[in-house]
Amino acid sequence: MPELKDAQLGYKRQSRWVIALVGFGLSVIFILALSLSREVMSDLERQSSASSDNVQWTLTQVEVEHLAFLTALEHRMYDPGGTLPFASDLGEVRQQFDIFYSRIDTLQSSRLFAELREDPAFAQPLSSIMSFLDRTVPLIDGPDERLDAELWVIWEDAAALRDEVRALAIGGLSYFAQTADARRNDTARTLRDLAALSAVLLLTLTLVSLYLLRANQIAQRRGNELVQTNHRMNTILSTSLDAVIVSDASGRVLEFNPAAEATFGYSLEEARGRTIGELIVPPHMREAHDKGMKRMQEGGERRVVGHGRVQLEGMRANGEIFPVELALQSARDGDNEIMIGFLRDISKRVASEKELTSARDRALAGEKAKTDFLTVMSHEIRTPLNGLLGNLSLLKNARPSQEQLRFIHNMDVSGQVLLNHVDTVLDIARFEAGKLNAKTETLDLGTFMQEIVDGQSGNAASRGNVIEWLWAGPAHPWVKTDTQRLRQILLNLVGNAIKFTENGRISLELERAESTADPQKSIYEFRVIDTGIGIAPENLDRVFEDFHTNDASIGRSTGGAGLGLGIASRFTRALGGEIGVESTPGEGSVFWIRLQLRHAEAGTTGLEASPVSHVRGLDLLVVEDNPINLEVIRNMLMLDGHTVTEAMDGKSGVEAAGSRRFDAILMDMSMPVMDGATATRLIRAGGGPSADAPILAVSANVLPDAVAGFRAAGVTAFLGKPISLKALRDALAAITEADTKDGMISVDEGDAHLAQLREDLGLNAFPELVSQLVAEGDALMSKLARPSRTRRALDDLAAECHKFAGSVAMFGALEMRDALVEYERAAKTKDEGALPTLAQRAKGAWSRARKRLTNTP
Amino acid sequence: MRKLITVIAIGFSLWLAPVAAQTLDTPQGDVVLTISGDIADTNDGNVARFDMEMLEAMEQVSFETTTLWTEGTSAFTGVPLAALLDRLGVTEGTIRASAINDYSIEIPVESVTETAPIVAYQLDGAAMPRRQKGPLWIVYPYDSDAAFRTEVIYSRSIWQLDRLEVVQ
Repeated sequence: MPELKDAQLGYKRQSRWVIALVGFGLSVIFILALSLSREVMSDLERQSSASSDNVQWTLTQVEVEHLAFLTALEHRMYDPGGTLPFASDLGEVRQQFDIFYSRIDTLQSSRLFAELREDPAFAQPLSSIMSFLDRTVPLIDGPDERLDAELWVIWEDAAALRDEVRALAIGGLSYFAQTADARRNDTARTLRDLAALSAVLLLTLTLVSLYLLRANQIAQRRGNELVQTNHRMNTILSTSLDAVIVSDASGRVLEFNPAAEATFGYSLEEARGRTIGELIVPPHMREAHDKGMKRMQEGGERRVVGHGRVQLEGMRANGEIFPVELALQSARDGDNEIMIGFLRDISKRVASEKELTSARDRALAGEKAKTDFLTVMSHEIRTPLNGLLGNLSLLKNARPSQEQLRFIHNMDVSGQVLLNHVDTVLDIARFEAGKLNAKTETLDLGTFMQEIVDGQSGNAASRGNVIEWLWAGPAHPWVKTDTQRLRQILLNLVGNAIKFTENGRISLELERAESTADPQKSIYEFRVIDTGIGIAPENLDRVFEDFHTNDASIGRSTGGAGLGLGIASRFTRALGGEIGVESTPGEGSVFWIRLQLRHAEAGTTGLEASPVSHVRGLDLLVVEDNPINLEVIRNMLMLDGHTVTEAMDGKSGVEAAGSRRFDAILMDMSMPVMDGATATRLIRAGGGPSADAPILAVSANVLPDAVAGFRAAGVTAFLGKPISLKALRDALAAITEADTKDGMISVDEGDAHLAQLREDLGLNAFPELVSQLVAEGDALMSKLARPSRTRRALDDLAAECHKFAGSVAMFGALEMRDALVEYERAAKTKDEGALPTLAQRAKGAWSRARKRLTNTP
Repeated sequence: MRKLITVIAIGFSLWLAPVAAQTLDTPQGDVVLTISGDIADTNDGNVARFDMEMLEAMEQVSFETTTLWTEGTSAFTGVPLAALLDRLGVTEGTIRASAINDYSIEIPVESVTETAPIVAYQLDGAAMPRRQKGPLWIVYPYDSDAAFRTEVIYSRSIWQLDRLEVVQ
């Protein structure tokens, strides 16, 4: 459309120009033609009327009247008394004379003959005749007698003029013939010019006509195109699914397409001429709309026009308010600005968006409820289990009989199974969150299988089943794998087999199936074979789905959640293996898993890095609010000969830690009055004797986020509830070992170095240097405890650490030196997250180094 | 019959009455113009003869104009041809005008206006002698209108006029 309009404008401009040019040309030609026509007219006038009279007649009449005079004279002379017409009286003579005189007088005086008189051939005879007339007049006017007497003389005189008279007539005639010729030629030339000019005019007019014809055709074609475009536009507008409203700059509706009619409930007739504001803008938005229109009319900022799609509210004829999407554009219609609005009723979309949002919110809420549930379950189930299993492990140490020991063992296994269930559910949560990490341990598959069979024998027996395991092929028991998960997989498969088998047999087969490309690894296949009811072929694919139970009644009677096989499947995949099932309904099923396992050296079980020895005789603070758990932990610790100080809440724990130095603190995290995290922070920040003591967090909340929170609070290590004696020992060993080990080394090497130094410096200088070093060290430690985090301050601190590291190295405190070097590196690289931990380590190292330095005899 | 004759007689007398009242004088001097043909009034048989005195007694019109045949501007005085025709009851037809040399032209009555042409008898305040196109000359005010400067008008400008004949 604008293109067309431009083209039209261009065309108009062009035609205006052409018309002006042609008009000018035509005017010039017309003026020329007019002047030529005037010339022709005047020529014609000259010829037809103007100056001529009948000059030829006049000239010939001279001769006639001369003869008539002569005749009158002759008649008088020869037959004066005769009868007319051959007789003549003197009156007749006089009259003929006068007539002749008058004729000659005319030739003499009329301006018709003025030019002719210039010609001597005319002037000379005229003058002769005039002189004759002049000399004859006295006789003519004289008395009759005298005239009669002189008639003969007059006749002779007049007759002698015959040649002059003839010359006069002929000379005049030839002159006038020539003038007439010249005039004719003149006129002919003028006529030729006029004809030529007329031809030019005609040609020009023809060209103009052709041009106008062409222009007309073009205009007609443009008109047709415009009509077509218009038609197309109208079709587009009328079939558009979006409402299209066109208004002028003041907001008055000019166009209102069928979709707009349908959307807003006004007909085009109703809408036309009314303002957009009163028509479709809801009352509460009208003020803003009016302001916007006013701003736009005043040429101000345009917030909607040309800014793409905006979402607003519209109002239907029945007052219903609904969401619309609006795109507004302005255009020029001649000199006026018009607004074109495309509106779409988006109430359905908005409704479905709302529905989606609420569905998402519900889903998120569900997810949160699930997480909350898991957290609560983790805590609420683990806490009593802690008491149960803890007491069982204590019971084992209370010298039970062989039979009691077996019961205790069975109870312990069941408790562990329950704990595994809890862990499994938590594992799913963690697995889903992508946080499940396989832990690699060295495992004796024989013992492992036996434990499973032993643990499940009671369960199997309760349904009249026999359970057994065997190696298919040669035994290769030593592997490295995630024992916990592998056990869970097999327990789930076995549990499932027992569930669907009554008075039958559950066989576990284990086979090292084949080697892999890596000679350190082999594929192991575990098979759980039952003689149960089997699975229909159509259900085989679905058994590994979550919450799947083939038979609702069995599912209920056996109390399964339908999660067992799903978890087994997930864990197998997490371990990089495959899981599958084959079954014949009525005969039984075979569940198998294939895992790629790394071979291991025989004889070492448990956590790879964990030390088997455990520390003894530590001075420990236990902060725990639950009396049973407190007692369990205390008893476990006392078994290993540790000294235990108890605190029942965080506040008491902080106070106790401030009173003296402990080798380590066991901190329950979930406590009334003050929780473990807060207590840990206070102890760390308090700068008391135990500020740098290792703190072992003990909590039933094993979710990764919680554990990360504990670490942020400053705990050294984490121990999940329920606590086993072994886990407790390992944890204690882990948190004190580093110290002990480093300490041992540094004591050995450092002491020798120190002794050498003392010897070198002499007994007097040494204590002074030591006290200076201690003062410097203390000052540095307080800076490390609360480092300023500006770049400059960190750089200064790094430099100070570097310097002091050199000093302590001289005194053999290598652990301290290492800690400071680490801190310096972290400070330089702005690894701020590592700084608190490193500061803690430096503080511990310093306290040991300080003790050694000052205790030196 | 008598009655009818009486009616006709009365009609005739009524018709003749104005004519009788305007009966032309008989010319006392030399006759300068003889009018014949279809005229309502006569003074000599079936023609009307005029001497100069009679013409001068009639309506008089004067104008100044140049002519083809005279030098400079001339002042003409004469009786309008229309007045002459009126006097003789001529309303239609053609006037055949003749000169003493028997030159003759025709003037349609409908072309005659109130003031043009005139039968001039004075040029520049003096009677026109026969040797200078007198004594009578039919002239038009040529300068006043281009319509009087045509060949037809020039040909009608007959001098030494002595006869008019009214023909149909």
